[in-house]
Amino acid sequence: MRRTIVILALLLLVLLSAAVLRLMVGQGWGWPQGDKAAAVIRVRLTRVQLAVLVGASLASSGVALQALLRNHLASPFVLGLSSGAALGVMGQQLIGVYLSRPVGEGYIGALMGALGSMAIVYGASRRQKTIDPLGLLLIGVVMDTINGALIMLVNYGWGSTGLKEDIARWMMGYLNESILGAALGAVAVATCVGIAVLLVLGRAMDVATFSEAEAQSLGVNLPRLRALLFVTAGALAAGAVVLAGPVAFVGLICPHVARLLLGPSHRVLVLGSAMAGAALMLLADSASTGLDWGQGQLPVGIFTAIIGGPVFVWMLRPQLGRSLE
Amino acid sequence: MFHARFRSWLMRVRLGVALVTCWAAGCDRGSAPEVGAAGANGSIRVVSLAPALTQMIVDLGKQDVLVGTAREDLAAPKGLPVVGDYLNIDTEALAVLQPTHVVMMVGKDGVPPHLVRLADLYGFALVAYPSPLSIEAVCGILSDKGAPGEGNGEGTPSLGRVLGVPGEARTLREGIERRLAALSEAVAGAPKRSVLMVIGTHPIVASGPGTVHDQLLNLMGGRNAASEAAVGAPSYDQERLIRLDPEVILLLSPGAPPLEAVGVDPRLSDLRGLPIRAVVQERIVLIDDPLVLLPSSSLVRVGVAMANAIHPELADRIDRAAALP
Repeated sequence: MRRTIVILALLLLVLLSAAVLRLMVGQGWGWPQGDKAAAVIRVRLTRVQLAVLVGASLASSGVALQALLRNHLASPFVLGLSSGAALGVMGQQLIGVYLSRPVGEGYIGALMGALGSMAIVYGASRRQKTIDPLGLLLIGVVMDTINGALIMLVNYGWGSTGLKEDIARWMMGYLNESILGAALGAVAVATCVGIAVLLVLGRAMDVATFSEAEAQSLGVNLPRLRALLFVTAGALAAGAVVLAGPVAFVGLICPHVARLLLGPSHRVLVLGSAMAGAALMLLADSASTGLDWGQGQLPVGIFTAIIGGPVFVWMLRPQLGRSLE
Repeated sequence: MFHARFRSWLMRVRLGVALVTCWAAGCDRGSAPEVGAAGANGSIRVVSLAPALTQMIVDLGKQDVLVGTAREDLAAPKGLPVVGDYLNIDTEALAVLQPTHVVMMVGKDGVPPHLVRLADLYGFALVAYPSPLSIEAVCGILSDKGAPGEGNGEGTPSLGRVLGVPGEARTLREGIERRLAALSEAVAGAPKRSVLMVIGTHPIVASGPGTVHDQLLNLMGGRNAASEAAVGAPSYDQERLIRLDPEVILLLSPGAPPLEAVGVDPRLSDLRGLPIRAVVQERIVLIDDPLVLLPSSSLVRVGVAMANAIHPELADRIDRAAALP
C-alpha cells in the first residue's frame, strides 16, 4: 500500500513537472515576456488543460476497455470511435458545403460521429441483455472499417471542397486550442465523472478479470458492469476526440505503464493511468510546440508514440520472458 | 477406363473452346473506338488532367478541343466527360474519348508510369508540365518565352504550341505580364503589409515561401508573414500566430461561402480572441476564386483580389491597372 502511494505521488510529481515544462515551452524557452505575454500565457494554460484532459480521458478509457474486453491490446479506438468521429466531422463539413455556409464548430460533428459509432457497436454486440466482449471487439473493428470506407467515399466524391486536407491533418491529432470555454468545461466535467465512475467500479473490474462463473459467484453483475464500462469508456474517448482528434497510443500504452508500476488493482490503475496519460500528452505537446524546424506546428499525435513507445519498451524489458516460465 | 479418358479429353476440349471464346470476346475491338484515329485528320482532341491547364485552354478560346477533364475540375466547361485523375485514370473512359493529347501537371515524381503505358497503347501524346513554382513558370507553360517555336526552356512544348495557337498564347501571356506589372506599379508606393495567406483552417495552414502565391503577394504590395517557414505549407498554432502578428489575413478558399465575424464563423475559430492586428482591425478577407489555389491564367484575377485586400485605399488605381487589355 505504501509503495502504491509513493508511486502515485511520483506520478503526480511527473505530471506537475510536465505541466510546468509545457508552460515554459513555446516560441522560445522560458516565461513569456512583452506586451502580449498575457495572451501567450492564456494560450499555454489552455493547452495544458487540453493535454491533461485528453491524456487522462484516453488513458482511463483504455483501462476500462482492456478490462471489458479482457484484451491488453484494446484501446479506445478499436471500437470505431476515432473513425466515427472523423466521419462526423466530414459529414458536418459536407452539410456546410450543401448549405453554402459553415455549420457550427468541428467538434460537434466529432462528438456525434463518435457517439453514433459507439451506439451502433453497442447495439449490434448486445445479445440476451449482455455484451459479448469478443463480439464487441469484432463489431468494433468492422465498424472502424466501414467508417474508413465511408471516409474514403466522401473524400473521393467531395474532395474538391477542401475536406481532404482538413481531415488529413485532423486525423493526425492536434489540440484544438480554439475550443469554446463552455465545450471545454463540459468535457472536463464528463472526464471527472467518467474517472469517478471507473474508480467506483474498480473493485468489480478486479473481480471481472476472473472467469465469468467466478465473477458472478462473487456477486458481480457482469452484464451491468460491461454496459457501464462500455458507456463510460466511450464517453471518455469521445470527449478526448472532441478536444484533440484521434490521438493514438495514449489509451493503449498508459494503462500498461501504470500496470507495470502499480500492479493489476483497477482503482489505482485508473488513477495511475490518468496521470501517466496526462503527463505523456503534456510532454508530447511540449515537443510538438518546442521543436520548430520551420514547418510550423507538428501534430501532437506523432510525439505520443515517439515519446511513449521507447519508455514503454524500456519498462517492459524486465518483464519479458516471465510468461514463458 | 476408356470412358474416363474420353470424358477427361472432352472436358479439356470444352475448356479450350471456352478459353478461346473468352479471349476472342475480350479481344473483339470491332465495336470499340479506333483510338488515335481522330488525330490522323489533323484535328486536336485534348484531355486535361489539371484544372489550371483547363483554365488556360478556356482562356485561349480553345474549349472546343477539350474532350475530357479530370475529376473536381472547377475550370472545365459543364458537361465534359470525366476520366478520373492522373493517379487513378479511367482507362475505358479515356479510350472512348480518343484524345490526341493528354495534358497534365506533375510533381517531383514525374509522370506516373501507367500513363506512359496508356499513351503508348492508345497513341496519344502525353504533355506533362512541372507544377509551377513561379509566375514565370506559369507563363512559360502558356506560351514560349521568345518567338513562337523557341520553346519554354523546359523541353516540353508550350500549351499554345500544343493547341496550335502560339500567337494567341503569346498575346495572353503578354497581357498577363503587362497587367501584373501594372498592378505592381499601382501599389508600389504603398507600405508593404505583413500578410498571412491561409490555405487550411483547422489547424491554420499558410502558403509559405517559394510558391507562386508568395511571389504574387510580393508583387501586390504584401510581405508574406510565413516567409521564414522551411516548407511550402506550414501550420500555425495560436502562439505562433501571435508571434507572426500579420496585418492582413487572406483566406484562400475556392468557392467558399462569405466570411462572417471572427467570433461567429467556425472557419476562423483558431483566430478567435487573438491579439493580432488582422483580427483586432478585422482585416480578414476571403478570396474565393475557383482557381485561387491553382496557378494559372487566372493569376491576374487573384492578384487583383489580393491587391484590393491589402491596399483597399488604392482600389481605383488597382482597378485601372486590372482593366488594361
